Amino acid sequence: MTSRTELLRRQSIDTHPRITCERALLMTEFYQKYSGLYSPPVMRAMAFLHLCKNKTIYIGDGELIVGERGPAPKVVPTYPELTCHSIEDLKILNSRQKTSYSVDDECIRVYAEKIIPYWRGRSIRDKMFSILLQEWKDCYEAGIYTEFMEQRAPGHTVLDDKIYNKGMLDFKKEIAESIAKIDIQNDPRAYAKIEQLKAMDIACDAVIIFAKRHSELASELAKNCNNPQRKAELERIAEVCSHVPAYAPRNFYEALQYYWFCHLAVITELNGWDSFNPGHLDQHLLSFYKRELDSGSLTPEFAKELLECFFIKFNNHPAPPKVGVTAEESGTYTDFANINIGGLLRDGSDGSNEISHLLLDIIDEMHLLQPSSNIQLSKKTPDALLKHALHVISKGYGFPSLFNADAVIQEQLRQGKTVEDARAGGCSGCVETGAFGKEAFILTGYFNLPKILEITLHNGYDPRTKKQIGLKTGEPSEFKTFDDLFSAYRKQLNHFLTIKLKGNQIIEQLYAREMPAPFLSVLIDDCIKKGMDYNEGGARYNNSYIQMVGIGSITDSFSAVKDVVFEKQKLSLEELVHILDSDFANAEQIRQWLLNKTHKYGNDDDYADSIMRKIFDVLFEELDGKPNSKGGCYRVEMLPTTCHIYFGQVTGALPDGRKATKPLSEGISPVQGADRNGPTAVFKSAAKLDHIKTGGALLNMKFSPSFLQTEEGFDKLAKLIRAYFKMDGHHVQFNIVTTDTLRKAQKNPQEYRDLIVRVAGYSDYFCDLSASLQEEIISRTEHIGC
Amino acid sequence: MRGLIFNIQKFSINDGPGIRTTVFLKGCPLSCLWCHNPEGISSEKQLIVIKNRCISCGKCIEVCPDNLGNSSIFHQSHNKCKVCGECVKFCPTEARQIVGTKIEDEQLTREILKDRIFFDDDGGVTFSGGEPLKQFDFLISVLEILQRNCIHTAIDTCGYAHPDIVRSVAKVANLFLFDLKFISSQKHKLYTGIPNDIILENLLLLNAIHKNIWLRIPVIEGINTDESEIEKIARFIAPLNSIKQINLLPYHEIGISKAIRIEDDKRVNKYVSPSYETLDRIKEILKTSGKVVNIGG
Repeated sequence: MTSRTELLRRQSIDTHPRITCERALLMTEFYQKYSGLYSPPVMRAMAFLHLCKNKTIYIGDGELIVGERGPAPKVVPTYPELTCHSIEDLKILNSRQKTSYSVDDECIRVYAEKIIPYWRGRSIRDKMFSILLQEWKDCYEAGIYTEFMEQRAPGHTVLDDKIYNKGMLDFKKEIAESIAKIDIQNDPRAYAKIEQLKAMDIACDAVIIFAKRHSELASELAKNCNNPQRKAELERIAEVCSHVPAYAPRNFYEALQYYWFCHLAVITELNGWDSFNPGHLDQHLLSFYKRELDSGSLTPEFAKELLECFFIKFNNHPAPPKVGVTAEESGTYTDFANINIGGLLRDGSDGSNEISHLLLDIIDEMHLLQPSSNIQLSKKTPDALLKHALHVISKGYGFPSLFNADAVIQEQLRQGKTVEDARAGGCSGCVETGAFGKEAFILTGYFNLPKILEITLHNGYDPRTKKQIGLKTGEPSEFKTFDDLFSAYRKQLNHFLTIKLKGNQIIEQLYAREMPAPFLSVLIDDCIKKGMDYNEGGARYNNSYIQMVGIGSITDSFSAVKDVVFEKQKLSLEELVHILDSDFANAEQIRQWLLNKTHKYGNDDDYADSIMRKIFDVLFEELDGKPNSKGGCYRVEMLPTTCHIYFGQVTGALPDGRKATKPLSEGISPVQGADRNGPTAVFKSAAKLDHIKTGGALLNMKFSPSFLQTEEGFDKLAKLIRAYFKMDGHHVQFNIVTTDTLRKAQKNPQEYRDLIVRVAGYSDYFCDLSASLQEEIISRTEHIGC
Repeated sequence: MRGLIFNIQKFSINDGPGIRTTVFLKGCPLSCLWCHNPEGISSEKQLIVIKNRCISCGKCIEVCPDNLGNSSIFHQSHNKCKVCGECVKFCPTEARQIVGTKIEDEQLTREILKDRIFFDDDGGVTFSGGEPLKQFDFLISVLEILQRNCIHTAIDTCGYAHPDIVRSVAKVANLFLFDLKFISSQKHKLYTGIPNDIILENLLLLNAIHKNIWLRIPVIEGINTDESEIEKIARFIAPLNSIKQINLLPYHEIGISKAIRIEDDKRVNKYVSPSYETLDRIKEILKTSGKVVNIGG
């Protein structure tokens, strides 16, 4: 790092997130004045233009890449048109122990006087809860599933290479051509298309204006600047911002600044999930980098400094504030921008290059929470890149995570994408597969697999909320065989999935009608061509995911029931349910038996692993291919974020010996501590799930730092990973930290403020995690190798 | 054919090259006082008790067919335990276990092949123990199956066996990890219970008939760390061309907790792990043999 980027980094890390009501005020003022005057897409575009023209803009001391979503770094706006926070919400955000956001009295006053009176009942969240059926709400409250679009808009998309050779003026031209092609006389969607395209056109103008304002501010600051070096920098910023995004970038600097304006625009327009992401950054920047290095207009040092400034920008932008269940399922400041390194080019050749290594150096030196990063490891990726990544991972930050690029491509081919689009795709957020620049790959909510067993064992009744939310599939005494029980589980699963999907249809249509995203639509193919919004199905590909949580816990639970109840007949199912209802009170001996003497997933033991496979196959059959409202399909995703903690809290004792309210297993990882045969057995078990049929499956591994003290250790870890990927494993990520360190951090959080660990698809400061999540990470098996 | 093993350790990274599965065969002719696998010495099945796992549920006492228990934790040496395994079967916490499993050669091979995808081009399987050559019929049978499956095999041996056995195994194994503790036969007898003339002869034999030997020297501070002993080793091995590298294995205490579990009173005493300085000194002396010397497996 240079002294500049060291300072900017420190400021970014040390500034506590704060809420601004500027966006909420501008939005309210605009809606109060113009509501009803325009069609929804044009209304959204005009509101976005209003924001771009009027929001406070910021150029900080020493910055080279400019632009903030709020009035200053780490200041986070709200989106009352989506979620209208109550005064109580704001107070909780301000005071809660973990992931708090400062909210000042002025903001609370503005909310009480202006924001809430206008948006209460008009926000998407309010409308959603008034439309959704009681059965949906009952299941939601029981903790069967969560709802992603309840506080945040559909997002989950990543940019491809298109902005590096097109300016906004080029996009405007494409929009005009698309309008010209509409057959108004014969096309029943003609009006809708015209309005959508008009909105996209306005959004392009809005971003150009936004950049111009930065150019003007930079010129202004340059005029008054006495330091000649800074003056020159400000003049350069002014020049860059007057060129991009209106025109295609001419150099490395403009390419980064252009992306950053697009990023800001996307996360300002709406608060879409998994903040936007440049995708294959190393591939996108290579031609600029090489050309300029050859011509001498760029040095590797300056390129690195610009990238560092670019990284700090991501870190300046914590996730929009989340409350309630959304905060439980995703309890982190991280907003999941996940830069892809390596992978393949569209022609199928190795996509890694010198910038891949440069990015790894930056990730290592800066170890910021955001942006997150991953290696797309193909069989064509050189070992040198993997080794470099492992050296960064060995520092213990948990990043970069590792993805199997070849599997990611196969997954997309199965979903029907072209091979080129699949290669240009990759992973975003935590582990989600998508075609970059061409797809809306929406996560719609987590789904609690073990809870459904609890409901099945209670004949459809939820003991916690005391409601009959499931089907009456029979009392425990009526299940004569394991298959009887399993088919009852399958019926319940189908029942709850149907309720969830019905809710999704309503919510997706609500967004499509009322919350179009015209700027995002400019960036994602084929919205312009189709004259259709991103939220309506304008993207070339539209896959919706439901994220399954607790496959380890549900597998071990079924395995225990099969063994203990139906095969060895040590106790009846009725007796077992009775013991579970008492949370193993006076039944420690049985609990120990269940914990130690039954087959567990994660040990390359086919008894348990075949049950895992059976459960996955059922999930796949019940969900994959079901239509969403955008012309695409539902797919299975195996990902928890922090939801395994929340789902654990609402789930009673389980037959695998887990006590009530304790965390569930996360991702496709085994139950914490249940894997006793070392890492190869974990990989073997995990690979028995058919990863190609998922849109991502998250595997966490914890290794002792002692394992990575020699080059040989790195070689062996590299071989392990390559072998897992040969078996089509989708993803793996590592925590390289000792339990001892984590315990010390719990005791002295002040001394371990900088300790970063891998949670689930993202890294976070250990001391910022909830106590139960800290314990869950500690309880994961630590591998050493013998 | 059946053999008696006491562990299959996947992802072994210190028993030869690459990622390996190590199979531990039970029974050893030596009885080294510092043995880190004391449960591998006896050729019989043994009962072990891991005391901190016990929740004092009393199930073991309840089910013992010979009524041997009188407290919540009881162990074989206190009684006339026949190692019938009844208490193990009923122990809910796995505090009670039996060390030693009879396994068919085919079944063992299947278990080994489970991890073949991880072996890549340099990994494979290592037979350790105990002393693998002690069950040579079984060992050779498994080695032959593995050879047909193109799996790299290594034999971690103390070198104490009939030369014919060494000859037969050398035909089917890819690598020998040959342990050498002393050149002095007297010291060898004192600490391992057996003189080492046969061992040294076997090392010479192996050097003549096999191409690939790694010499492994357990280093125990004060026991085999004096310069004259190390110099003797260096001189002895210098002309042996099949020895490709030397690995110094510093003593560690892991054997003690296992000795406690099987109530092996001879091996509950602690030895001293060599310091870095000692290891470096030994390494320098051994390098005079012209061989590559590594600290660790």
